[in-house]
Amino acid sequence: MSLIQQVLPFFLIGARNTLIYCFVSFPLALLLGLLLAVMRSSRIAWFSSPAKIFIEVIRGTPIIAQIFLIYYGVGAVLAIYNLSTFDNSWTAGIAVLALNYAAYEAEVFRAGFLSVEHGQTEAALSLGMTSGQNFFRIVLPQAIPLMIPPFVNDFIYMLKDSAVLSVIAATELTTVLQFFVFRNSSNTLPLYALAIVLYLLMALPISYVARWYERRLRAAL
Amino acid sequence: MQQTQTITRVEPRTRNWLPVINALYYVLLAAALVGFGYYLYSNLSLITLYLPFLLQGAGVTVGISVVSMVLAVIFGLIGALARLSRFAPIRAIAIVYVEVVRGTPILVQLLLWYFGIG
Repeated sequence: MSLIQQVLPFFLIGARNTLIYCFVSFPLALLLGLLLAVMRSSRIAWFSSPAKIFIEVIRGTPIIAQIFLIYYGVGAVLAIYNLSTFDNSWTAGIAVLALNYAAYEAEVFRAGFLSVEHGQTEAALSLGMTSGQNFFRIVLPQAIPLMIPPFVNDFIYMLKDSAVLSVIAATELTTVLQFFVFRNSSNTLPLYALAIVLYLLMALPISYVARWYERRLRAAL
Repeated sequence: MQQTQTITRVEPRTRNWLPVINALYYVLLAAALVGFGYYLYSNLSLITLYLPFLLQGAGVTVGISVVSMVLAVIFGLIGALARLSRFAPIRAIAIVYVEVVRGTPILVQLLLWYFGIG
């Protein structure tokens, strides 16, 4: 018990940092994902092709390889221009999570937009709406309720994927866990239990809210 | 009686420029790919030095994935049957297992199995 009491403040800081990483990265991922989804559906190859390449590359490579690339690779490039202060575990971690999840959110956005029947767009355009009005007043309001459950799921995935940031010492929960595991290697199981409980405390409430919303949505449809 | 009729034809907006700039894009993309190939070629000695190890690692990746997926399907079937079981304790165990595993990062599980329990 005294061990838990001793390490709990540090674990709570770790959990707080995990939440900060996710709550900063996820809105960025949403914005970038919306941009990618719009780019991807463009008929101009200058927009659609880079978006497709980005999405395929990000979704086809492990996040840990992307972390190494951003932290060490981009860091090395920045160091050439004496900008290495911009490359720390906070910026690199947030950049990796945002870029990685932007690719997944782009697919969610695209699926959401495609799920709105094309007849709605035709009706809006034939009523004289511009394509921008059609997008913001017809397609987006109908697509958003359908996109919320996958977004929440992806947020929980991000909460768990942020553990991988411990490879760049991002001071989130898993980094703290590893630090105390190696410092206190005789009695490690309580530390794992504490970390697992904290992760569950973060993930399960969100997951239950998501499930409740999904049930409500299915009843409404 | 002859009646003059003015026919206003609605022309679809012409986008003759679209194929042109798209073609330009694909030309530049091909050039970029060639450039990337040249970049790899210019580091040929480095690549020939490390490629065998990378291929070996890729083989391990594929092997682990295949074995894990086979086991995952088997255990997943057991877990699904347990969740549908008529005995409440078995059902509870299955639910707790699923919630805990799905709610914690795989990295923490890996550390737990390798350093904690091992």
